Amino acid sequence: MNKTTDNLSNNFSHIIKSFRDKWVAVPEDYSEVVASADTLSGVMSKITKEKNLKVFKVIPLDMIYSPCNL
Amino acid sequence: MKYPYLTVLNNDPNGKHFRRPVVDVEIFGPEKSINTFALLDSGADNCLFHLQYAKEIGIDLNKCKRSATIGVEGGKMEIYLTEIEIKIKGLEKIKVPVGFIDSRSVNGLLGQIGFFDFNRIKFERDHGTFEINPVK
Repeated sequence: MNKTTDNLSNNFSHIIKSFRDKWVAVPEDYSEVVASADTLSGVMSKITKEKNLKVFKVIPLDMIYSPCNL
Repeated sequence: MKYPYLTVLNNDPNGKHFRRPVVDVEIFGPEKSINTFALLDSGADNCLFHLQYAKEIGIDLNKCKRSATIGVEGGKMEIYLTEIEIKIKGLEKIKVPVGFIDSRSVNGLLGQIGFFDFNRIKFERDHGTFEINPVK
């Protein structure tokens, strides 16, 4: 398989690896983690003035993932 | 609307990268909205979002219908069902039934009920893209 990946995917993969189980706030291109916390409310409290950020829970997407395996 | 698959590097240097149909989505509640992402999951019955989103956007869990969902391992987990508005990047805002769940492995999933019902989804994994087209 061709392992060439784009910046977006590299950035996203770095977050998945480094912030597992955390909540993070990132710009659209995943280029940096603007805020992280153990809870969503913790992240939201840190980014009150920031716009256009994406917030999510870092789930283990770097391994075989069956989301129904709750 | 066409979207690229998102690639996640495999921790195993000999393993293939994971490519996933992920879309940016804004979820709306009575108090606020949050931008996040969701995975298109044709195997999921319901759209699911992590429980913490419900609290943050102002969903009253006491007014949600309680149900349970079973994963591939057979474990049962409680979900809080309600209806919210979501907006996928590039598409119109829509109202969908969702379940909120306290699960380590769920951020956002877009499943059959209420999402695949009203959108024609075309996976072209061999081209690294997928399409979401609302059904009028």
